[in-house]
Amino acid sequence: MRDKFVEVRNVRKFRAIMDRMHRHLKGQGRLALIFGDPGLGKTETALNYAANNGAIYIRMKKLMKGRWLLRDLVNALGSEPRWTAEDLFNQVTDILKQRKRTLILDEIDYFSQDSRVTETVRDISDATGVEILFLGMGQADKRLMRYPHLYDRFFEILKFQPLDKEDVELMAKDLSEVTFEADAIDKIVDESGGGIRRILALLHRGEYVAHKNRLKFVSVRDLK
Amino acid sequence: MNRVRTVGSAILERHGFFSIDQIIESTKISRRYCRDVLALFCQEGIIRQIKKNRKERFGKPPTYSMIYRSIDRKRLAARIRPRRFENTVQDRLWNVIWNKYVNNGSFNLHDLTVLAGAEKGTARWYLKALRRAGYILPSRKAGPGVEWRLTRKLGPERPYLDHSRRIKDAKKHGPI
Repeated sequence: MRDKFVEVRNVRKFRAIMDRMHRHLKGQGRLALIFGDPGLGKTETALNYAANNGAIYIRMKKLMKGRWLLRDLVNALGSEPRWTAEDLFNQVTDILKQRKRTLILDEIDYFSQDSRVTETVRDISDATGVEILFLGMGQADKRLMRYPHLYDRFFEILKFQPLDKEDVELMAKDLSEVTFEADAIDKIVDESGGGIRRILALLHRGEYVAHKNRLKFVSVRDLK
Repeated sequence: MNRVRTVGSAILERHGFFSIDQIIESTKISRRYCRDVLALFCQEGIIRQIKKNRKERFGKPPTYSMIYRSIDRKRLAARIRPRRFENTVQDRLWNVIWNKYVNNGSFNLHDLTVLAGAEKGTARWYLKALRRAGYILPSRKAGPGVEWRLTRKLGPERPYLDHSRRIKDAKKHGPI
């Protein structure tokens, strides 16, 4: 298997949203929401984007409150956090005003219960105009609908879909050193249900069988 | 190390006034190059040239002793510090290392090659350099899929390699 980041359909859509978010009109909401079931590559895509574009990635925690979030933000921005909540907020806004950086907040389901955290994020967005991407699990959009003033600011909402045949073909082509036949691809799509981890496991198995038997092509029989 | 950096370091080691002879002695760089670098620093307003009065010596031509004084030591330190470019491979690698460490507690070679988009050899070299500098530790001695972790919280700014290929801490030395 090759170590490579494969640009499947979800990733292409993710990048398109980020691109549109940067070009979005000032004054309008620069927030976007991406959600989907676990195992579809949301976090990996976000980390890849953060590494290549210098964005700030923060994973929310279940017990996270507003002050904790602000302190994490200051740390992620490379500064020493001050003590009071007011100072922390001012510190975050000052740094982000000086140098605009995209914020990616992962696992937003955790703070969707706490209105103070959502309001803090909204305040940061309003005060600095930075782009903020929310990443959440399956029901994240429904949870955030409870905050209309925040939900209204999402200029784009995307749901990550399970990977289809085209994506699996692309993954097999990019990652595997052997060729997977069409029937093998169909089997992988059916068995995996579109989840990346399962697809990788099946591709790995196919490749292992091919190496053991010195095969150049992997068919459905080899995946049994 | 280039001449500007060598001469700048020699100036920083001295406090207050210095002469070109003292710099030549400590850097072992020829007078011509030392003079050029000092002239450059004078132009940039980092050091100032102080010309002393004519000194008459019996039987010999008169001499003018020239001394210098560093005005802005902070600017001089910033001037000779290695310049850092943004969004380099090392930046991307460090971003992945930091994010993975903060959120998952460890990272591996696969994370670096896939998420940072670096070549395997580059990622390996970077891990090796960080390990030699004592910033990361492996979960086990060797083998594939070794998980690495940071020995201390270094912050989101990556450490950088100086001229002698040693990693320096960005927190201490600070990026430009």
